[in-house]
Amino acid sequence: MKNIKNTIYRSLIVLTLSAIVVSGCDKERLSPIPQTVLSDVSAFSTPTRIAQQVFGVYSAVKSGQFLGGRALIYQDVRGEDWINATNNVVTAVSVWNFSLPSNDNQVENMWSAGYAAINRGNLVLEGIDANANLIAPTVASAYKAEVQFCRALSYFYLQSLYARRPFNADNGASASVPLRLTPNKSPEGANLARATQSVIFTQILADLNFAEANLPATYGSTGDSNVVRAHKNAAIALKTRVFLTMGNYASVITEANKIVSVAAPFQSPANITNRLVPAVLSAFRTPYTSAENIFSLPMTVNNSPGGQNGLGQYWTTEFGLIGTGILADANWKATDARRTNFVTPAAGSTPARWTKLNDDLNNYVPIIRYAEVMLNLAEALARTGTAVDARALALLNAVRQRSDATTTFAPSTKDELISLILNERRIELLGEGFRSLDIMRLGATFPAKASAGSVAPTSVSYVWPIPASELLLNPLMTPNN
Amino acid sequence: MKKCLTTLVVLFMLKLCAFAQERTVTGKISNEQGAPIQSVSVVSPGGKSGTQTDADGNYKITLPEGVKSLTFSAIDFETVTKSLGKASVLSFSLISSNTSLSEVVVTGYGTQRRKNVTGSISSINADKIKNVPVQSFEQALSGKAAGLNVILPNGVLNNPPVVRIRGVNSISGSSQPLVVIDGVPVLSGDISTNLSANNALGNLNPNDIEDIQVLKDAASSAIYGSRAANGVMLITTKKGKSGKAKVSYDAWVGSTKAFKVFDVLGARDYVDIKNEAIRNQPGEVFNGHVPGSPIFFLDTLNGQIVDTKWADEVYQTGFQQNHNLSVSGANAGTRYFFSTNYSDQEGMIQTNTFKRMQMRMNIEQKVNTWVTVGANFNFSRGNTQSPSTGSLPGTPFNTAGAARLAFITAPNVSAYRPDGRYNIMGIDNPTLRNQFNQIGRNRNRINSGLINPVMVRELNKITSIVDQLQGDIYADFKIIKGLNFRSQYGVNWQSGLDETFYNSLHGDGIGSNSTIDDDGSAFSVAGRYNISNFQNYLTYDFSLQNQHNFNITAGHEEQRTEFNRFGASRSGLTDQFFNEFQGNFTINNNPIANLLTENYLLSYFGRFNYNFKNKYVLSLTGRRDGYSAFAEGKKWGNFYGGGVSWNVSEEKFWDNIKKTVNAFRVRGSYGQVGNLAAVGNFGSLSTFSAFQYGLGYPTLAFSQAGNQNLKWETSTKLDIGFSFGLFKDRITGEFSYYNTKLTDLIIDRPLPSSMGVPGNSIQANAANMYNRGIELTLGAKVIEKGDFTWNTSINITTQKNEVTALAPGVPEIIGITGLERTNITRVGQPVGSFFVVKTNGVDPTTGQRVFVDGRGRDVLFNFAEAPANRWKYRDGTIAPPISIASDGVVDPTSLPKVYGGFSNNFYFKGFDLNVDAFYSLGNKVYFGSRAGMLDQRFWNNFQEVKNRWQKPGDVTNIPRIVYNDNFSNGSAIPIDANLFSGNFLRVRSIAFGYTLQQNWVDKINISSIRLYAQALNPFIITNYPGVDPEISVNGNTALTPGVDRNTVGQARTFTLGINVGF
Repeated sequence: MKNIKNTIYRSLIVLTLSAIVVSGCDKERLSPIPQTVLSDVSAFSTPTRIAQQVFGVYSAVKSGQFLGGRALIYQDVRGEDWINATNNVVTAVSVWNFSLPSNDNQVENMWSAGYAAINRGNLVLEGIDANANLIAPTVASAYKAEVQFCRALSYFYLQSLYARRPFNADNGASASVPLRLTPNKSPEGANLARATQSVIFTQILADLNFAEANLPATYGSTGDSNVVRAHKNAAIALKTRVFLTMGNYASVITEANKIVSVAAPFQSPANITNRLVPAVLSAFRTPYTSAENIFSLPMTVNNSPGGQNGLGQYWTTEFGLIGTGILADANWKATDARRTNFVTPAAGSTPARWTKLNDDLNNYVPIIRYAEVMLNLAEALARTGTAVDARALALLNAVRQRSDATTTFAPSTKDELISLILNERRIELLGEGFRSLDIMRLGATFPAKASAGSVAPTSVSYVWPIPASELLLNPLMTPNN
Repeated sequence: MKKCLTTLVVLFMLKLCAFAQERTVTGKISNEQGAPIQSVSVVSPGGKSGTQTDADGNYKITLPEGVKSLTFSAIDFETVTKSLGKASVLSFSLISSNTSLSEVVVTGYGTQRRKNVTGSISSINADKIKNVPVQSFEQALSGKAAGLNVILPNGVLNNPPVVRIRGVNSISGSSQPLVVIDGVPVLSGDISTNLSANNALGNLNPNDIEDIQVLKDAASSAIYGSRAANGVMLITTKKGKSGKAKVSYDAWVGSTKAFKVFDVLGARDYVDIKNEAIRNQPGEVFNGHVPGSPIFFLDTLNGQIVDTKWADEVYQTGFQQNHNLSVSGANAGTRYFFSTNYSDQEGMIQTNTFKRMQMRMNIEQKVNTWVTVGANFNFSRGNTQSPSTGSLPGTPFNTAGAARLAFITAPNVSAYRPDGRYNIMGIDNPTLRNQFNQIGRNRNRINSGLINPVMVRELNKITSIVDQLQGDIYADFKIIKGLNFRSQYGVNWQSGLDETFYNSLHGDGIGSNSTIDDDGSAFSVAGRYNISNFQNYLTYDFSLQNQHNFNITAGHEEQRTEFNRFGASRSGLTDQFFNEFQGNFTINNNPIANLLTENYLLSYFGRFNYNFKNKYVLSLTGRRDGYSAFAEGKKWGNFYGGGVSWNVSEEKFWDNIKKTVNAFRVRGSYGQVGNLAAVGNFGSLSTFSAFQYGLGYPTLAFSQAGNQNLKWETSTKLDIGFSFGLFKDRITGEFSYYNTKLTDLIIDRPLPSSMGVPGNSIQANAANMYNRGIELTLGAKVIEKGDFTWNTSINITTQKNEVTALAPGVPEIIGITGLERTNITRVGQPVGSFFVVKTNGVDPTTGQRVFVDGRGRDVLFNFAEAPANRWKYRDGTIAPPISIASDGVVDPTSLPKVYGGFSNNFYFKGFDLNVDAFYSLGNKVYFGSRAGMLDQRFWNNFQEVKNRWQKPGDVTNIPRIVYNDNFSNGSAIPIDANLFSGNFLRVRSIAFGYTLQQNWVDKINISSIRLYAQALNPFIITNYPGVDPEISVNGNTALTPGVDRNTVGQARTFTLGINVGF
C-alpha cells in the first residue's frame, strides 16, 4: 500500500517536472532573427534604408578589386610606362606581361566585382520601384539615376577588358559581356549569352542619359557629395569618355560642350563649376574635393581599398616608371609640376616611383577629372577639324601650362596636334587607369617593355580571357579565342 | 528554463519524516563473492536511524520500536530493503548494480549491455589515451578503432586533427563527428581566430577519460537525429569507485623535434644553381644587369661564408611536461572524482607553446532511496602561442609562414647583419624598408622577396587563450523498480581571447602605405561560445516472465548555442617598446571578427529495445528535431534507426562448438539520420549587411542569397555484421559492412559570377554521394604463459567514396588550396579528387617540361622564350598556354582506400611494452611543397634540383632550369609529377614500462608505481618523398584533402613518465 503511494507520489513529482520542462520550451527560438544584418523583407522599408542601399551600390563600384583600385591599375600597367618590381602573380605581373590564364584570380575577381556592383544596382532599382510610396518621385528618380550611373561605369570598365575586340575594330559587332539588367537572388537566370559591344554601349548611354536627366546639378556645398556622388556633370563627362572610346567624336563634342566653356579659362558653364585647379597637386591631396574632381571614390582609413589593391601601393611598391617610357619624353620638362610633385627618381635597382596617389588609406581615387574632359574634347575637335583646331590646341595648352607654364605647343598639322594630345594624356592621366583604354580604342599595338613583348591587336592576349568559372557555370558563355 | 531548475532544487530539498523506539540489529554485508563491503549505508525507513558498515563489512544499528525494515545501499550495488522480523542479526550479500564498463556500453541517453547492442559501436579504453604526449584526446586515436580515421594534419601544437568516422560524410559542412562528454554535446575544432591554433577539445584532460564509444551506424546514432550523420563520439569521464580514496599522480617529461626536415641546397650549390638559371634566361633584364652575368654570390660575413640553415632558425627541440593528480573514491552515498592537470608543452617550432591548467570535479550523491543527484564539472584554460606557420587551413601561402620560409629562404643570406641587427632591406630607411618588406639580400643583386623568419618570430606575438567551463548537473529519480527519470542540465561555455601583435619593422605588420605610418599592428578578439543543453528522459527497464526484456527510453532535449564575438584592430605603432594591443597606436581600424549568432535545437526522442532471452534483440530509435537554421516550413525533421541482432551462440544447437566458438552474434541495422552542421545559422535568409561608403555614407548591401528550401543533409546508413569469440574469447573479432548513402548534401552551389550574387554561390541541398566499405577488428591473447602475456589487435577499414550527383548545371566544384586549384569534385569520382595537369617527363633533347594538354597532345614549355612563344607542340608550332581549367585531369586518389591500426602489448613480470601503429593505403598526396622547392625564382631548391637537365641527351625528371620559371615544376599550376603515393605504416607510439614490485611499494605505503619511457611517432615506413604523408594543409575540409603545401610535418616526441597510485 505504502509502495503504491510512494510510486504515485514520485510519479506526480516527475510528471509535474516534465510538464514544466516541456511547457518551458520556446518554439519561437526556432525562428531567430539575425541581429547584425537585415533580411530582404525589411531592407528597403524606410527612406533611410533606401538611401543606404544607393550608397551600397557606390561601395560596390569602389571595391579594391574594381574601380577603387585594381581595375584602374590593370588599365595602366598594360601600357608601356611601367616596370614590374616584384614579379608577384598576385599583384598584376601577368597583367603587365600579358600572360593571364583564364582562371587567374585577377581575371576572376575583376569580373566578379564588376558584376557584384551591377547586381547590387539592379536590386536597388527594383527595390526603389517596389517602395516608391516611401519617397518623393523626384528623389526616387534621382536615386535611380545615381544607380544607373554606377551601372554604366561598371559595364564600361568590364567591357574594356573582356570584350573580344575593341569597338572600333568592328564597330561594336563582336561579343562583349552578358548584359544583366534584372536582379539575381537565386540560381534562376544563370545562363546568359554575351551581348555585342553595340548593345552594351547602347545600354551604357541609355543609363547615362537617364542619369543626366535625373541627377541633381549639385548636392550643395557641404561635405564631399559633389565629388563622391554622381551629378549631372559626372554623367555628361562620362559620356565624353564613352563616345571617345566608340570613336564618335561629334558626340564627344556635343557632350563636352555642355560642361566646357568655349574659351579659356575653361570651366563648366552649367551645374557645378568644374574646372582645372591651379596646382595639379591639389587635385590629388586632401580634401580631395577640388573643382577639378568631377567624380572620385572616397577613401578613409577605415574604408580603404584594402591591401594589395590600392593605386598608391602599386605605384610606390609593386611597379615603377620604366626609363624608356613616358619618363623619357624630352618635352616633359624636369620643372613640370607633374614631375616635381609626382616622380621619385630611380635609385640603384629601385625604379622611379609615381606618387600621384600615394596613400591608399585616404587618397580618394579619381574616376573623372576635368582635365580628362578637356583632353577628350580637344582630341575630338582635333580629329574632326580639317586643320589644327584652335580650341583643341587651347585646351591642350591649358592642361600643359597648368603644370608647365614654359611650354606652349604650336603644332603645324592636325596629326601633330592629335599626337601631342595623346602624349599629354599619357602624362596628365598617368596612374589613373587610362593607358590601355587609349591604346585599345585606337587599335594600336601595346609596345614591348622590359621582358614583356609587344602585343598586337591580332593577339589573343590583346584582351583579357573570359573567367574560367563563368565559362564553366554559364554554358551560353563563349571564350575570347 | 530557470524556473525548471528552481523546481529541481526544491525537489532535492524535500525530506520525508517518520517516528521512533529502541532495539539493536547487527550483521555483516558482503558482495557476491563473499568479500566484505565497507561504507554500506544502513537506514531505517524515513531515515531516522542510520549507520554504515565498517572495513570488515560489519554494522550495528539501534532502532526505535516499530521499525520493521532496513534499507541497505552502497555505491555500485543494488539497494535492498530487508524486513526485520524478530531477528537481531541480519547478514547477507549485496548484488552488484554496476556491471563493469566492459559489459556495458554508453549509448547516449542511457546504457546497454554490450551483447545486446544491435548497432556498430567501437569502444576505446582510457589506457589508450592516457600518458600519450598530445594536447587533445583525439590526437591519440589514430588507428585505435575500425571505421575511425584520425589524421594529424601537422605538428603545430593543439591544431585539431582530422577525425572521420566511416569517411567523408559532408561536402561543404564538417565531417567532424558529434562529441558528447558525459551526455553534453560540446564544441570541437579550432576556435581561435588568429594563427595560433586552439582546439576546443584540448580543454579536456585526456587523463580524465574513462572510455570513448564511437557510434557509427544508424541503430546506435539515430538517437542523436540531425547531428548523427558524421557519427558520434561519447566520452565518459572517470567516476569514483567504491572503496577507500584512491590518489593517483601521473606525470611525464619529454622532448619533441621535427620528424624530418627537407634536404635543401647549401649556399654554394644555391649560388651555382641560380646563376645557371640566370645564364639560361637571356631575357632576364633588370636595371644594370648584363644578361648572363651572375646575380647571386657567396657572401662572407666577418670572413665566413654565409650558409644559413634556415630550418635551424625555425625548428627546435622543445621541452614538454605534464602533471596529473587525481583523488577518487566512493562511500555509502557519495561517489567522487577530483583531478587537476598542468601541461606545459613546447613545440618543434620555435615559440610554439601549449599550456593547460585544468580542474575537474565529478560528484554523485544519493539523496535518498530514490533520488540521486550529481555533477560533472571541468574548468580548464588552454593557452597556445604560435608563430605564423603557414600550416593552418587557408594559410599555406602566408608570406610569413614559417614552414615555407624554413626551406625557400636563400641560404646565402643571413638572419642578422654583421652589426648584429636584423638583416632586412632598407633597415635604415623606413621608406625603402616598407617598399620591400624583405629579408636583406646581402651581396645578391636581386631581392629575395621573402620575409626574415627570425625577425618576425622574435618580434611578433600570436596567442590564443580559451577558458572553458564544461559540465552538467543531473538528478535521477527512481520511480519504481526499473523506471527511472533523469533530468540533466549541461553547459559548454568557452571564452576565448585571441591576441596578435605584428611588429612595425618587418613582416605582416608593414602597412601598405608609404605616407601614412600604419606600420605595426595589433588585433584582439574576444569571444564567448556557449552551448546550454537541457535533457529529460524516462527509462524503463523490465522483464516479463524472465524472457522478454525491455528497455524503453523517451525524452526531450533542447539546446541553445550562442556565439558572441568582437574584435578590434589597431595600427601605426608609436614605439618599439609596445607589443600589446593596449600599447600606443595612431590608427584605430574597423572591428574585426565580429560574430553574433545563435541556433536552437528542440527535440523529442524515443528508443525501444527488446530482447528475448538475450538471444534475439530488436532496437528501434526515433527522433524528431526542430532546428532554427532550417528554412521556414522545413524546421522539423524525423530521423530513425532500427537494428536486430541474434546471439547465435546462445542457441542450444551451438553447444557443440561452444568450446571453440564461445560467442557468435550477427547483427544488422538500417536508418536515416541527419547533418545540420553544413547549414549556416541564418543560411535560409536573404540578407543585406551594413557598412559605409567613404565617410558619412552608411550603406546597406546585398550580402547573402538565401535558399528558402534549405534543410538538413540526410544520411541513410546500412550496417551488417557479425562478431565472434574463440576459445573463451582468447580470439575475438568483429566484422561490418557499411553502406552510407548521403543525399541532400549542402553545397555552396556555384553561380556564374556574372550574376553578381554575393560569394558567387548559394547554399543548396544539391549533392549526393555514398561511402561503402568493410571493417574488421581482430583481437587475440596470443600468449598467456606464466609471467608472460602478449595481446594483439588489428583493425582494417576499407572505404569507397563516390559523388553521385551535384546541383543541376554544376559539373564540378573546384577545391582551392590557398592560391591553387588542387582538387576537384565531380560526379562519378570521389569527393575532393586531385586536379592536375598531366606531364610527360622532360624532353631529353631540349630539357623542356612536356605537358599534356586537354586533347592529349604534348606541349613543351620553354620559359626562356618570350611569353607568346613559350608553349609549343612537338612540331614547333605555337600552342595555347596550358591551364588547369582547360587541361586539368582528375586523379581520384586523394582518399585512402584502406586504413587501420594495430596494437601489441607485452607483459613480463613487472615489464610492459606497448606498440601502437596505424596505416593508410591506396591514396596519393599532392606534394605541392615540391613544386615550390623546384621553383626557379630566388627560392632555394631541393637537393634534387642537381639532377636537372643540362645537355642534350640528359634523361632526367627535372627540366632545364631557367631563372624565374615557376611553371615547369608545378609552382603555377599543379602537375601530376608532384603526386606521390601516400601509403604509410606509422608506428604512432612505443611505450616501455616497469611496474615496481608490490611488496617493495607496500613498504613505503604506496599502492603502485610504474615508470615508463615512450616514443611518439618513432618511425614510419613510406615511399613518400615529403616530410610526411600523414598531412593535410587544408585541415578537415572535404573538398581539398591530401594536399601537402608549405606546411610543417609531424613531430617526434620522447617522454619519460611515472604513474603512482597511493
